[in-house]
Amino acid sequence: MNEALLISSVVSWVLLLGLAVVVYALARQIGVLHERIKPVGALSLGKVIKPGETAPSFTLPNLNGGAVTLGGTGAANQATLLFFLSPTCPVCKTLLPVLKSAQVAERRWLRIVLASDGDAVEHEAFIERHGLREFPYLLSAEVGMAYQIGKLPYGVLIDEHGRVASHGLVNSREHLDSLFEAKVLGLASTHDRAGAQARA
Amino acid sequence: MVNPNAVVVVLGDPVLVLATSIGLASLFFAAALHKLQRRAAFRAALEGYGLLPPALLEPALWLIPVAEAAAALGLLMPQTRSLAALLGAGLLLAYAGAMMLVVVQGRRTLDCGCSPGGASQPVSAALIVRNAILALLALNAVRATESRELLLYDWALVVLMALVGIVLYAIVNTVIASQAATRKIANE
Repeated sequence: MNEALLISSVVSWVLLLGLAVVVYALARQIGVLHERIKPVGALSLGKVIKPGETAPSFTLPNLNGGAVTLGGTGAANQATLLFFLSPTCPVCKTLLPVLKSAQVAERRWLRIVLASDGDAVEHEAFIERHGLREFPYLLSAEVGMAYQIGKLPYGVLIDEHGRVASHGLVNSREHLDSLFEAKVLGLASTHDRAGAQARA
Repeated sequence: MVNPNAVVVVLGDPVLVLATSIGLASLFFAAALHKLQRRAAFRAALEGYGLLPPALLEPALWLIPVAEAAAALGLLMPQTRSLAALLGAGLLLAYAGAMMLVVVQGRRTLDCGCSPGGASQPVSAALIVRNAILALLALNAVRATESRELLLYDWALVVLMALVGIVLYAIVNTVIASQAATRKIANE
């Protein structure tokens, strides 16, 4: 009798382990489905300034010296990527190397401007720590408000004629590339591209 | 009617204490390894919490994983189990406390840093409850166990219980992460 109980107990634990493994597999599948249904490209959230509209003009002090001009016809026929970030946003930090390499690779047609708001001392420390001296860096709540930035990191691509070419949430290198590609294709966001592909 | 004494005996039984010790040791070992491998992400998570003064940040980057590894090793040895379990419970409760502060401040979108460098997961009440339960298990292992001779059957149970515990922990984590993702979708 005792032996039967022992055996039954071990068998129960083995079955429990089997069930737990199956539930784990199911839970993982749900997790993977969640990954899949996340927006794949730069999702547009800002509703105030639409692609194709003229970008508002700003001239603001640059934390790295001099002044930054936004909007209007860019100097040397360059487009501008206005990248909104914050020292307290972990995703922004993971994108800094991507921005640095994009600035070098795309410098023929693009200048990258970093934008944030808040305490200058904090941002100086951020610039120092992450080696952001070569980027124009501006602190202004007005710019963020003009584009209605609600989520970070957010990219706004202004073309060489001073019009907003594309904008969207940037969580990865792919999102950044899709902003550039949207400009090349003349489409506002990845959603439009998906729509254009569906119609084609 | 359950006899309260019987509950105390079962909780103090070496089989249960050994199984929870093995489970907690693997958890702490994995946590320490993650933090040492992805130091940049771990630093970002620590900075995100914003609870440590900058001067303590650098030492904490080393001290936390070392403490976790020490707890993992100590839990596996009978001589050091009580002390290591206490250290482990302290760590778990400290993380729970930090997350609770963040929730109280309303910064619910902050990445919890549960898996530095991996998928980001916001701080949530479920994670605090999870940590509290783990801390209770650790505290249970602090008590000196009634020693009795362990037979083959007992060892089989220890291994099975530890495995079930580890898989259950993985399930809970996955479900909490999906829950956060679901909430995000519902809010958009």
